[in-house]
Amino acid sequence: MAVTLDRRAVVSVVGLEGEVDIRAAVELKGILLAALESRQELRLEMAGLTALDITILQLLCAFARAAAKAGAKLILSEPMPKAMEVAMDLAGMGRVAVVTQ
Amino acid sequence: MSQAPAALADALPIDKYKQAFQEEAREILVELESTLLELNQRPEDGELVGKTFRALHTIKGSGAMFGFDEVAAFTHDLENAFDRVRNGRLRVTPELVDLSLTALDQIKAMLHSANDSGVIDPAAGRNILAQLLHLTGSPDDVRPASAGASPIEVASEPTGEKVQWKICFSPGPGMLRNGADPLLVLRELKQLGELQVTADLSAVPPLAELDPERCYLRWEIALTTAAAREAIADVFLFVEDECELRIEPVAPPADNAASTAQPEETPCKFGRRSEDRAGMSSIRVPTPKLDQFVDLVGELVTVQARLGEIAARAERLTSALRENSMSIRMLPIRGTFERFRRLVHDLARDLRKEVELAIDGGDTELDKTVIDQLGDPLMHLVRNSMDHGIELPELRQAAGKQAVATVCLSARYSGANVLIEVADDGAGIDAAAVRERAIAKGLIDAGAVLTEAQIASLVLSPGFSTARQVTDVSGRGVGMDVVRQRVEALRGTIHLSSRPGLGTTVTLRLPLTLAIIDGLLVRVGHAFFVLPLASSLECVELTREDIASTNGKHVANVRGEVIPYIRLREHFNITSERPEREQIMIAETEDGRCGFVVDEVLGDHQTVIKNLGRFYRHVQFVSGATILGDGTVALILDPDRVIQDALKTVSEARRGHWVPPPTAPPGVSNGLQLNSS
Repeated sequence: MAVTLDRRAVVSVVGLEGEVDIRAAVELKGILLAALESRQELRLEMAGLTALDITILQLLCAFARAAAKAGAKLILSEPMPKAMEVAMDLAGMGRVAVVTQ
Repeated sequence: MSQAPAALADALPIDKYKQAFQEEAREILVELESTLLELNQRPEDGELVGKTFRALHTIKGSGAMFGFDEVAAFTHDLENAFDRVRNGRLRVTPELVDLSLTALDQIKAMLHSANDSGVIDPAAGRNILAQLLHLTGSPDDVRPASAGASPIEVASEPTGEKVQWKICFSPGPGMLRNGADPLLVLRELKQLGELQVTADLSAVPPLAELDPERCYLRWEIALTTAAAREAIADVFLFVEDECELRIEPVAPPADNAASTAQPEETPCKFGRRSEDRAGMSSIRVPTPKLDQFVDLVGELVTVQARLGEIAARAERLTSALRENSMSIRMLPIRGTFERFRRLVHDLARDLRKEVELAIDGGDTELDKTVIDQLGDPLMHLVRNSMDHGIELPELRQAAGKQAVATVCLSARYSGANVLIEVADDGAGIDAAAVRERAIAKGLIDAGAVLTEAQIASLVLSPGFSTARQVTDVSGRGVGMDVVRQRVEALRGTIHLSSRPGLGTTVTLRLPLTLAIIDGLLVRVGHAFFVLPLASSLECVELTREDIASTNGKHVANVRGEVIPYIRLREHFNITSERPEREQIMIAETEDGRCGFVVDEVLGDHQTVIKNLGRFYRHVQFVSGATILGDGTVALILDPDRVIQDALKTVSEARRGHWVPPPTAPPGVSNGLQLNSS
């Protein structure tokens, strides 16, 4: 389980790897908030994500909204990890899907 | 003990949850065991089947949630079996019950091994599952745990028309922290049928204000399924306490009037389970914390004794606090009693006897410490009853009794004590056999005639149990004297009564609590003693004239009744000067009323019992010590034992073995030093 933040000049890369759940939720929130600070481009790197729970979905949802509000560009890694797809489908969040560019 | 709270605080939260799950699971298993045994008696009782299913479901669900995957997978198959029973596709048979009980043992072992404190035999688990498969006879629904599929599955039985249900599900604020994940619930729901989930994200706050461990989402779910409402509700079984849930049919099925006539189920806030549990809400308190709390209260009581008169108001507070703290330690004995259902069931099968267990007074509350240590003695008593007391069904019928014997466990209050009885309607103690063995052991003369009390005391005597073991068919390693020792270690007494052909009753008299008692503080010379207030009756004066009028015999005339007394000064060999007027404390004892002569009665005293330690463990007439306000130690006397001790001294003196007090070293008597200088 790992959540990471890589801050570069204009891009912040948030990485989610392995099994990310409520145990990492507080840390992830801090990272997402830090990533939002004065960045124009935000990347979510999730290729290694194997499992997640509702807390993570909820955080990413709030993150996407915050990014949109701040006018930042949010980029999701392609392809969407299977675990993410399944979780979003289960939670009925398919139609609320975050902007993919 | 001082280590424990620190260790607890250091443990990761997830470990704490795991521990909580293990504790809860163990409780559920105990209850489940009773349910299964009841089910054995009433195989057609749907409620019991439902209860069994739900209990298994809870273990499986929360097991998976807290990482006990093996437990979850194993329980899954058992749960499936009972799901089939619930749907009328499988019948409850004694084989199924027995196998389920074995499976429960396996689950217990799995929980145990998760603590690194035990080893499980995976082959045993596979064996149980294979047998289960054989019993249920359908490999589709019951697959071996090794197949490794997700344990979060519910076998859904297409029982009829598909119905669309509307489910509103909004997790409460604490749900995620308690380890429940709504995604798992939704996944499980998906197993039931076609699912359309719509998430309501409107309550999700801006990222900065969001509490990451709280669920802000709500769901509206449309489920099309053939499963019954119960099956849907069961999915929410272990989150329903922590969510708002509404399950309603979208269009009532035309042919099913019953479901339209169930509007009472519609608003179901914070669950059905909370209703079920309303009557028995409880709080789990770690024992070390409790011990610490009781220690503190003990200190407070000691300090309060120093404050004296000023503390009149504080005293009220203290006693309230004391009673309160004691009540926290009190637990109903039912749990301990219920555990014997299994023992009786298994033992009856092994011994080929028919035995029913009756439980009476399960709500009687006892100190947790006492309850914890009561299990073993009770087990020996129950085993004894079933092994030796109860006859084989043929013999019972030949004696004109019912083939099914009864072992009755009961508990009731008696003053500051609890009486616990293990009674059976068996053959009673074989007095002739007891006599024979006692003669063989040289305990009695060949011609001696024994009273019932003497037989009882022989059975309870230490040398006797060894003799039993040799002649016993069953050859258990424990005799009645061990039971007696354990009960006495709890400051209790044991009484045995038996009627030939009618049965045996063993009565344990135990103190309600081991921590604090109400006592009467007395003084002899410079030594202080505490007598339990519960057994104290009254206090009368003893003058030199009184002594002269009875010709030096140790008896007093109290309102016409002759009461023997023991002079504690002489008995404990206290050398200080005897005062002109002494006091006799009259106490109710096992042997009737008896007096204890002391110099002065100082009054009642809330006594915090401190153990005397291992060094004095053979000193039986002292049940402990307490520290007075000024730091002096007062010994707490056990009136019954003091009397027995005195009787022994007297009988030894008659036989000429007794060494009279003056020749004993000053201040030392009966192995206990009483500093009277």
